[in-house]
Amino acid sequence: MFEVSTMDIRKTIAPADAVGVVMNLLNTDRDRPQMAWLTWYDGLVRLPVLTAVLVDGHGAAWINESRQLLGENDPTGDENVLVMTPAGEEAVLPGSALTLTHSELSDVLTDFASGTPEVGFEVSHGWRQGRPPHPEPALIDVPSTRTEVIAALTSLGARADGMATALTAIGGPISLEAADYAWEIGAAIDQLVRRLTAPERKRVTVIGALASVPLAGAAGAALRLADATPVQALVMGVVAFVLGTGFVAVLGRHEQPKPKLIDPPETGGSSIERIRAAVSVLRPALHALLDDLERVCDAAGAAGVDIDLSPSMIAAVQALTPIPARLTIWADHL
Amino acid sequence: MTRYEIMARTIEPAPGQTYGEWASASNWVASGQHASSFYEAIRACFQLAALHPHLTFVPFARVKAHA
Repeated sequence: MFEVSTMDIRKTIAPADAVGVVMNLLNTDRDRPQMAWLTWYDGLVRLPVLTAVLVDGHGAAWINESRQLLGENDPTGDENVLVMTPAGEEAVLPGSALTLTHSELSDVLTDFASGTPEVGFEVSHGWRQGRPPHPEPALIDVPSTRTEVIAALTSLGARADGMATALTAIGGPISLEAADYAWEIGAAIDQLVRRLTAPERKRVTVIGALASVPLAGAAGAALRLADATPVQALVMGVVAFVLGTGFVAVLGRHEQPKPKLIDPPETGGSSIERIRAAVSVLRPALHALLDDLERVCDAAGAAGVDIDLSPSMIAAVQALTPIPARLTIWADHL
Repeated sequence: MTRYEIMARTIEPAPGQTYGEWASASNWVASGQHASSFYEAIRACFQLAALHPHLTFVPFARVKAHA
């Protein structure tokens, strides 16, 4: 099944109906560029298929308007954009955007939904060329040791959580979708950090237990000297052992940084102006988060750290790649 | 430099099976594909998934990054 969404509509449709439904939605307002997003899902997985579908209602002038809009707002270039034109019409296309007629798009969607490998490959190869290298300045030092990698990942997890919180506060379909993916990244990083620090936490617990043995013995001996019964001394010894172990474990725990919350600038204007201002802050912050995640992962190997990127993180990063652009487009349409 | 190893699941989920149920019932195997950068690895996951209908989607592939 496909899920088709525009700025304010989201509905589930069958593959065979995808093109018609998209056309109907987009043609409701022919005076301005319209956009829709198609997502394929099977109950387990949601995979963005088309980042934007632009329908040519008014020929080359409309296309150029769309091109200008995308050129201003799509930092990934034109590779995630599919331009639909009426059959046989010549169009001036932005960059390397794919051009399909309606019937061709229908074939692609049907093949994609049926899992035809070649179409799937073309989709991922042609429409997902990745992001330009580091468009945002690094907010994080590239780690060179295991400790630095873990600290950097911990910080990134907190940033992802803060980003998700801020996006949720903005609301709206695109920001909420981005927030979901930001939560996914934060949770995946948290799991990764826990896995990386598990041996260390275990070691600290063992050290705490060993250090608590003489403490427990001393406590028991002191109570015996104070005329306590052997059972009372034993119980207090065990209590001292547990408290000592727990104390050392707490001392050795990594401090979790609090999520770095992003404060959108106060414009004092209308709610729409505030949303636009918030998006203008959050979009580069989201870019920077993904770039820093890339920097840390690429540096982890040299630092001798094996990391395991979970499927949920991979899917979230891939899905978030076009979303910073969509955030701005969405805010501009408000 | 990090070397990214693309892993894949060995079986596809059964109808109605939850992600957790499927994840605990299947194993990861090395796909033989590698990548040298973060986004190259993520793209490789999608391409691998697209080239193998029984894998189908990216959550069926994962990346292990190591020195």
